[in-house]
Formats: sequence, C-alpha cells, structure tokens
Amino acid sequence: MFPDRDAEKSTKSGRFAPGVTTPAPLRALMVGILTVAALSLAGCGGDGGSGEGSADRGSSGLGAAGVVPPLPDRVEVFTPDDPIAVMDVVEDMSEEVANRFVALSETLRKRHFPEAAAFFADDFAGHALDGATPGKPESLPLGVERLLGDVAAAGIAGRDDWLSSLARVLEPFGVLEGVVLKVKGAEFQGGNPVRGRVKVKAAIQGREPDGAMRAVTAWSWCEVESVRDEWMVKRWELTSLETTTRPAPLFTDVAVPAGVANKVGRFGQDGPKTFYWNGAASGDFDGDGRFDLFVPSHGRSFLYRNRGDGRFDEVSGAWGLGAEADGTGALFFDYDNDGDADLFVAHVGWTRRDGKPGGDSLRLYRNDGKRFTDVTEASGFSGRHVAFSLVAADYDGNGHTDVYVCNYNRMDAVYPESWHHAENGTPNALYMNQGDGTFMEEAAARGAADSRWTFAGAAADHDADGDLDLYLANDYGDNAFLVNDGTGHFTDRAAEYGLLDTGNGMGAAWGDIDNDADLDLYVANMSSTAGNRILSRLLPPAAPGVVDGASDGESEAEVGGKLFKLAAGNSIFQAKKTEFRHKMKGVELAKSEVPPERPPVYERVPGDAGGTGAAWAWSSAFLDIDLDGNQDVMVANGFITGESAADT
Amino acid sequence: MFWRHVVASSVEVEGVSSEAAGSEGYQDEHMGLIFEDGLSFSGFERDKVFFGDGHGWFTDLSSVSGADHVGDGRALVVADFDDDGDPDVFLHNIQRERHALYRNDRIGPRVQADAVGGVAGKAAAVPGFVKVRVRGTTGAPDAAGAEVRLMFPRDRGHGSGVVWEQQAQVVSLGSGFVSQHAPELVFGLGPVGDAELSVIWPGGELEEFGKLSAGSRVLLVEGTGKPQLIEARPFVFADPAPSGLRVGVGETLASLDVLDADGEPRTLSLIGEGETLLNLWATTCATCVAEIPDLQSLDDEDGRRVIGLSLDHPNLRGRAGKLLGDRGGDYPNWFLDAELMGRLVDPDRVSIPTTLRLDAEGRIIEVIKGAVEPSE
Repeated sequence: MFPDRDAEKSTKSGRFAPGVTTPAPLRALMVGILTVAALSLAGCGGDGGSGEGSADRGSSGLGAAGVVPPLPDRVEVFTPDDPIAVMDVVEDMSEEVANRFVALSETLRKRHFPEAAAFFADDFAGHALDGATPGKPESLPLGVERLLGDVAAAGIAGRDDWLSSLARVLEPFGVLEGVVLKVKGAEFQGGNPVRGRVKVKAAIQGREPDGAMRAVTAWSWCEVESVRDEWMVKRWELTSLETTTRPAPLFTDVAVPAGVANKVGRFGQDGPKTFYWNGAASGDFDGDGRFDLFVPSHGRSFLYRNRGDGRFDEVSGAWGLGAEADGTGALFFDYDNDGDADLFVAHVGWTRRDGKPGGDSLRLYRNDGKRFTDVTEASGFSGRHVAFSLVAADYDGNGHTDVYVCNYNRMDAVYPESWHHAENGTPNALYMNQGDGTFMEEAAARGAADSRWTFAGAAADHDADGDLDLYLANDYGDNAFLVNDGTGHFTDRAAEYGLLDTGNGMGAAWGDIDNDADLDLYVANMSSTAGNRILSRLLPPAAPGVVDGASDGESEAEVGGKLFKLAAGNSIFQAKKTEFRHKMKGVELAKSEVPPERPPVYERVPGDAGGTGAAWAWSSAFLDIDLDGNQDVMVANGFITGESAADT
Repeated sequence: MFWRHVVASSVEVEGVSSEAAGSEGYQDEHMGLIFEDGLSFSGFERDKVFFGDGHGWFTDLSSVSGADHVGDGRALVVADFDDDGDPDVFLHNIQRERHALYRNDRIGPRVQADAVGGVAGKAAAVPGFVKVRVRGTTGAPDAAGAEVRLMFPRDRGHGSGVVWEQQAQVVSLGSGFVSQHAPELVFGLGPVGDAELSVIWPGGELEEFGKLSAGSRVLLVEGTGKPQLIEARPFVFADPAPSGLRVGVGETLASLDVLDADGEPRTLSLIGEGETLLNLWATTCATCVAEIPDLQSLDDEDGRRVIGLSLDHPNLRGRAGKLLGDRGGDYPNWFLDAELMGRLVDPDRVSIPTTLRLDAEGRIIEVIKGAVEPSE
C-alpha cells in the first residue's frame, strides 16, 4: 500500500516528493510546490547526514539518516491501560509536555523545520497533514470558505516527510501570525520510557501574500515518550483538519494612522504592575457629533478627540485631565442634564486600618464646554471603593441619571474566601442623583450592596415594566440579577430566573440574538484548557442543573460541578417572551400589555450553538458587524501573556 | 498551577499536595512565575468574533476576522467612529500594544465584492443600516435603558417568503467590562430598503417613529414621534503601513549590509543607474518561489536590477541559490541574519514576498506586497 520507504530515502531527489501516499487529485495540485517543500527541509537530514544542518539537529539527532525504521501500517495512539493517577505527577508531566509543544510551535511559526525535527523521535510516524483529500468547500457567512479534510485519506509519513507535509500546509501563508499547539488533555503510562497520550489542538493562522486571511485547525492524538528527560513526539494521529479562508479581513487595525496607538512594556516588568485593569469609554465630549474616546490607563489617561478626518488628537491636558491617572472604568454621561457629556472615572481606593483613605476616589468631571472641571468633592464622590465597571441609568425614575459602581476587592491584599462562592469582596455602591449636582450612596438601603467581587454589570428593562434592572457579573461564584421594583429598590432574583450562572463572571451585555424584540443576555466567564484538563481528570462531570442551583452544605459532587462551570466558558441566556412574539407586527405594544406576572423566561443556549468558547473572557459586546440584521458578538480575552507562552 | 490550586482548595482529591491548597504561598509563587520568570497565565489568547444567524446560533470566524488580537484584552468599545455605517471597535489591552482601533471594512473603500459574501460573478449588495441616537425629555436626557426596536422585512431564503422581524437594542451607559459603547445604536438591515422604528423609553412608554430608509442616521427625541435626520459625514481611516516593515516609502537605503551564501558579510550599494527591486523572500513561501521568473523578467529592463534578499533559516541558504537557478532567476541573491533582518523588517510580522522599489538614489518609492507584476 505504501511505497518502499527505504528505497526512496536512498535517492536524494526523490526523497521527499513521493514519500507520502497522496490521493491522485491532490497529488496533481501539489506537483508545483512539492519541490519547494522538499528543498525547504534540507536541514532535516536529507543530505545523508553530512553538510549543512547537522549542528542544528540537537541531541535527538538525525545523524543516522537512512536507518529510519519502516513505517507502521496505521497510526493509532495507544490508550494507557493503567494511567498514572497521582494528580501532581500527571499535571507536572502535562505541563512539561504542554510546554514542549509550545516550544515546537515557535519553531514552526518561524518555519525552522530543522529545529522542529529535534522534537520528534527517530521512529516517528504520523498522518501526513496535507494528505487528507479536501472535501467540498463549505460556504460560511461573509465570503468565508471552510474546507474539511478527509482524515481517513491521509497517508502515513515518517518524521521528515511529515514535516514536509506540514511545510506544505504552511506554504500558502505570507505571514504566519500564530502557530499554536495546545495540549487539551493528557494521560500517562508508567514504565521505561514513560509514555503519554496527548490531545493536541493545532491552530495555525495568518495571511496569504495578497492579504487574504487563512487559518488551519487540526485536532490530533499524539503519543509522546520521555527520552533522556525530554519528551519526544512518537505518533501523530490526525482526527480532524479544517482550513478556513476569506479573501480579506473584515477589520483592519488603524490605531497607528488614527493616532491612538499606545505601546508599553510587559506586564509586571517594565509595563503596568498592578492588577487594576483599565477600561475605555466612548462619547461625544466636544459636541461635534462624532464619537471620541476616554481611555483610563496606568500612570495617565488618554482623551482622544475624533477630528473627523481620520485622526484623533490626544487632548487630556488641554481639557483639564492632565492629572487624571490610574482609572479603571469610565463613563461619559450627562449628570446635570445640561446636554453635554460629563465624565465619570472609577478608581481603586480603600480605607486604611487607621481610618485614613488609601488609593483614589471615584472622580466626576463636569463638562464646561472647553474643559472638564473636577467636581468630585462637591458632588459627593470622595468615598473610596475598589471600583471597576460603572453602569449608569435613572434607576429611581426621578429624571436624573444615577451611577451603579461595581466593586471588587484588592487583589494584592485580600484573597477570595472560595473559588465558587466568595462573598468577601467589597460592597457595590449605588450613587443616587439628587438632581442638584450631588449624589447619595444608598446601595445597602436599596438592596444593591452585593459584595461578591463584582467585575461588571449591564442594565435593561428586561421585563418591560418601566424600570431598569441590573445584571451583575461576580468573579467567584453566583451572579446577581437585581430586579427593580420601580422605585430604585432591588431584589436579587438571579436564582428564580435561572441566571445565577456560577462561574468567574467577568462581563455582561444585553442584546437580541434571535430578532424577537426581547433582550437576551451574554455573560462572559472563562474557559480554560488547563482547568478542563485537570478537572476532567479529577472530577466526574456534574449532572446538568447542579451548577445553577447553589446552596449551602453542598456535596462534593455539587462543588465539583461548580468547578467545572468555572472553566466552562461564557453563557448565553435566551429570553422567551411568547406574549411579545405575536404582537410583533402592527400591534401596539405598551407596558400595560405586558403582564407583570409573566416575566420572561430565560433558557441557557446550549454550548453547541456556538458563541461561548472564548477562553479567559473579559468585555463582550453585541454588534452587527456585517449589517446583515443579526447580532454578532465580540469578546476581548486573555489574562496575562508573558515572555514565554509556557503556562502557569 | 492555578487550576491545581483551585481544585485542591475546594475539594479533597487524592494526590494533590496540601501546599497547593494554601493561599498566600501559592499566590506569591504564582505571581513570581509571571512577573519575574515571564511565564504566561492563560496568555496568547486571541479575541473572539462570533457571527450570529439571528436564531441564537453563532459561528466562530475569529481567525479570519482581522480583529482577533493576541494581546490581553480588557475593554472593548463599539462605535461607528468614521460614520460610514458599520460599527468599529476600540480595544484596550493591559500591556504591550495596548490600543487597537478596528476599522470595520464592511462598508467603505476597502470592500471587495468577493470579500463580503456576494454571489460569484455578481457584486454583493452593500447592506443597509440605520443609526439611531435618542434623547429623553420626560426623564434623563441620556435615556439610558431606552430600548429601540427596529422592524424590518427579510427573506431568510427557506421558501417562507418575506417576514417581518423585530430587533431590540438597548441604550447603555456602561456594559461589558469597564467599557462604554458610543450612545448610538447601529442596526443592520441586510439587503432590504426600509424599516420601522419604535422606542420603549426608560419609563416604559412606547413611541412609534415610523418608517426610515436605509442609510438613515437619526435622532429620536422623546415625545416628537418623528425622527430628526442627522447629516452623514463619513470619512476614511487610512490603512496602516505594511505590517512588519521597519522602513517605509520616502526613506533612503543607500547601502545594505548582507551576508553571502557562506555567511560572510558584504555591503551592497543601492545607488545605481536605474531602479532597484529588493525582493524579500524565503524558500518556504510558495508565492515567493512562484514569482522568481516574473522577477527575472523585470531585471535589466530600463537599467532596473533585481536583488533577492532571502530570510531563510541559515540551513537553507544553499537551497535558496539552487532554487533560484532552477527557476531561472540569475539575479544576485543575498542573505540576512537575525540582526541584519531586524534593521529592515520584523521577521515575526513581515509578509513575504514583499518587494521594495528604490529609485536610482536608493530612496524607497514603493512597497509591493505580494507577488510583483511581470514585465510584459
């Protein structure tokens, strides 16, 4: 079935080209580029062990070229019959293997195949990555095409030919923006050598020379073995391969030509050193009808005025914000109803043991037309909070906009008391606008002083009863749904609505995912490769429903279910309001027609509907990117990227 | 490490060391790994772009969106900054390249018919949109929480014909995480022409604002029942410089330090009698190899010369020369090591092939991304 490998190895010119069994139609397509790929791998030992490249081969060496063992008939990664069970040992090994794949990824991104060869055992065998016959392209929205590979048709290749097949996969890329081999699961079998069965997701993306977008995603099982304290890849069993292309990107980063680029050093080193995350706010502070930006930041702030000609001017100094620094969240809103956008900035502050204030207070700046004037003291905002997100609305309906302040706790001084139900954050604050330029903090009296490490919130009149309700994303456990009684007094009804969404809540947004004119909810949490890997090894998956029903004295299985939820990713809750649906066209809709006793019912959108796997997610937003009339979602994510991709 | 700690401090599990459950020691060690040793903690995660189908299903198109930043994103703000009708996005990362401004190219000079889902051979219809701002009069003028509903006809192509759908969007002052979107709602209409608008104001009153045609930018003032048209004032954000190049048009490269195939340093003069084409390429790039004959066709024409600059791994230098010969390229080819390459390009970002066109004085007059056009 397969050509005589050894015979081919003996001739230099034929060494790479026919090494992989390739289906005929694809073979024809590949003829033009095979030579290139072959030559690109010269350092992999194709010169019979002499000449260039020998020095780069590392200890695993390819020096013994020509004594490559025969290829197996099939590539199938073993399943450990007695896997190592001690978590610390397994996880240490998993981390080592994961970091080994990180290092391999980097050599591949640089297309340094000679160096990549050192990660593979001499007797490696794997499914050739370009051998899977492409199926029919599937057309996705927006001119995106996706090709699913027929994995069953992939040929089997030894190390050098396998790397050649990978080189061919990478050839269409003019620039490789990412090659990431991520270990999604691993189990190990003791013995000599220790062997591992590793689930690997390969994500390759970049641009073709003409600017077209291209991405390749492959899932595989890999067999690794520990040779002289180094993990070597021995088998590569491909389970899926898909290629996604689009003739052009949908978005172009124009920060540099627009004058809003900002570059700093690495977090924790020469860059920002605190965990006090900074936000961004858009509004029209100069009243010219164009949207400007305020960007609070470490050590300073940026007030970017949109000139209307493709550029922004940074005018924080000219507008009186030269001393404004280290803000977290920020909001433009009209606190004094005079028609312009005032600016409110959240900061991290606290009360010291000696009673004196530490950190900084919230700050309110009144827009005076040409500059901002600090009115923090006069307006009653001098209290200290560990404040992040701000959600303003007229919660009590008095015609003046109030501010809800989402408070966390000091990450450098206080530790959450639990990973899934911590209540030792600082209480959130609700500043009620008195209509005379002053605010009163009334969260406790109004049932809104949640102290569960709140990162963010989003307001909407979810039940169309004429007042604004607030959904809160709490970091270590259950979220809150503060339902307004019409007077700005709240009751947390998250459990009742099925909206507890236990997890690491990071953000929330209201939007209409199904065009039925009611508001659905997107909640950003996190999904974690390492978390899922560890949890799936240690804990049986929770039964559905366990996660959303928090209670005291919960069983270990319940806790386990919640831990799974911590790593499970974002949530989408779809509102079902049938009484709205049949009144959509031509029937007037008024608040009296919505029976208050029939509020919407929320259903969690199942994970296979997509849109929820967004890694360590932070801000999320609904928007219609392509203007097709359907709401899309964007999610900012990632916690801390170091110098090394090795994960902690 | 983090997840081991989470599990160990939450439930009792065999084989988990008790140290992992402690908090302070764990935190110090973990932060040390990040701050001092430079390791990552859920790092290199790319932002996500999910496209909705209007039925609650989403497709992950992040990797071809151009907006899946690999940095550590926190705030994300939506606004049509350039007033062209499609929503743009500002992103705030915590470190390194902190601010990104994503120009949405759904509408604008960059749009290509084949890039936006048009049927092959036909130009894709430019989608309709309506942009809405609101002002409250009975309550606070910002009208936070106002729900704008847009009813529009659409044919979803299942043989059910045109049906009316109604989309709700809410005016927010703060949502997501430490983020505030611009106080303007952008509704996409797809290929249809008009739409009907209504608003449920924060106090709960419903107000109809009637029909609007696609492309309208309006202000809805509570109690008026009639949209006020806002004049369209679109502008264009310029393209960024070609990614990865450290030299640009207008700069002069009188000479260039390179290496020969044996790794010996040379200095090339780039001042000549005619133009010079400096071709950045590598043997691992299919387009680069394919264009060798085209580059050859441009050599010596009107005194123009072609110089190849190979970015290949040192092991592949011998192959580069051979490949050139095999493909009929007899123009000179030189090599760049990491340091020399770094003066011209960011090797992690430059897209190859890229060709710099220099005048006789060595001044860069054009940057050609992708393959060159061959001589006729």
